[in-house]
Amino acid sequence: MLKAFDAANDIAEKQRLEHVDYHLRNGLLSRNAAAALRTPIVRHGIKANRTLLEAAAQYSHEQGLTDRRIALDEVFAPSTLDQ
Amino acid sequence: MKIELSIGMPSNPNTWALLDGHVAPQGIDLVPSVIHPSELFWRQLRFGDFDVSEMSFSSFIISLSKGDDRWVGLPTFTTRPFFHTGMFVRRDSGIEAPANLKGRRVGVPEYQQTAALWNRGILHHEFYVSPPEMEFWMERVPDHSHGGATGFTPPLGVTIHQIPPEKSIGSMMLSSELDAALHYVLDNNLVDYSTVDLASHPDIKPLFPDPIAEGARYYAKTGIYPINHCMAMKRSVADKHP
Repeated sequence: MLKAFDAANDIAEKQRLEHVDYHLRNGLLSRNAAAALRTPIVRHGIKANRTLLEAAAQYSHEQGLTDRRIALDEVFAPSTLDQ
Repeated sequence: MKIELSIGMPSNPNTWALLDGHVAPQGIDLVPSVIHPSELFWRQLRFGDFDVSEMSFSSFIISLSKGDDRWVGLPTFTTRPFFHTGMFVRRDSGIEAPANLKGRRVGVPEYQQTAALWNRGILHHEFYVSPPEMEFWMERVPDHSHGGATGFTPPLGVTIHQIPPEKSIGSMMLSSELDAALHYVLDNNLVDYSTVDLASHPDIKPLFPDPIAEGARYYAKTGIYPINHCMAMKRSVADKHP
């Protein structure tokens, strides 16, 4: 399932560049904009997002919404924990 | 043989390929439904309508902490704004900086939603305004909210009033009954019902005069680019087909 989301994401990245290809080639977008459009924004997986997921769990505990700091291995499927 | 799984999720460029069948998970026939996230999470937490669904990260860990083990998370994160840069204030409220939110009446669609969790955390850690220092007014009603489905009670020291059904965050911002909106949901769905376009209303301004600059500042300092939702699969399904 996670692989399918990654594949869908790769397609979205590729399509974004295909959509703007004429604009890029015709020089209608600045080189900065071209570089920005090549930057992948959405990254799945725990590795790429550990800091912010732990921050969210910390905030939830600090704010009294959860009675303890929930660990990521309680949240995510065991097969995804090293991805 | 493939197994058939129903999946509920919002439409988003990063999921289009899954929704239109371009990409299929191995061994699974996905049957997708496109649903507004606010509504989807309420339906899923309350009724468990789908085998797999996108899920509020905040509501998910709250339900886990209360012993609800119906779901197993998948780390996919398709929506990621800098939520805190979307806070609104009334122009005449005298709120010129986040610190001025102390003692103010602040609207929130739902106290436990992930966007509100981030925004309170960021106000607390970056601007030293803690949740008990504000007075919250919540729009969603218990029957149609994530909190209603997970047994929400206000955390110790926090004041939360219910917005009456004839009013909304939008209407109360315009009538000066609220000074600020911690988060604002304008697209119609079963659980959110504000209809005023605050972003373009002359009486309203963003809390941060340059929202893009604030997002960039926050990211440069913390390295955090917030997520909103993950996916959650029914544990009964995950156990049967690991």
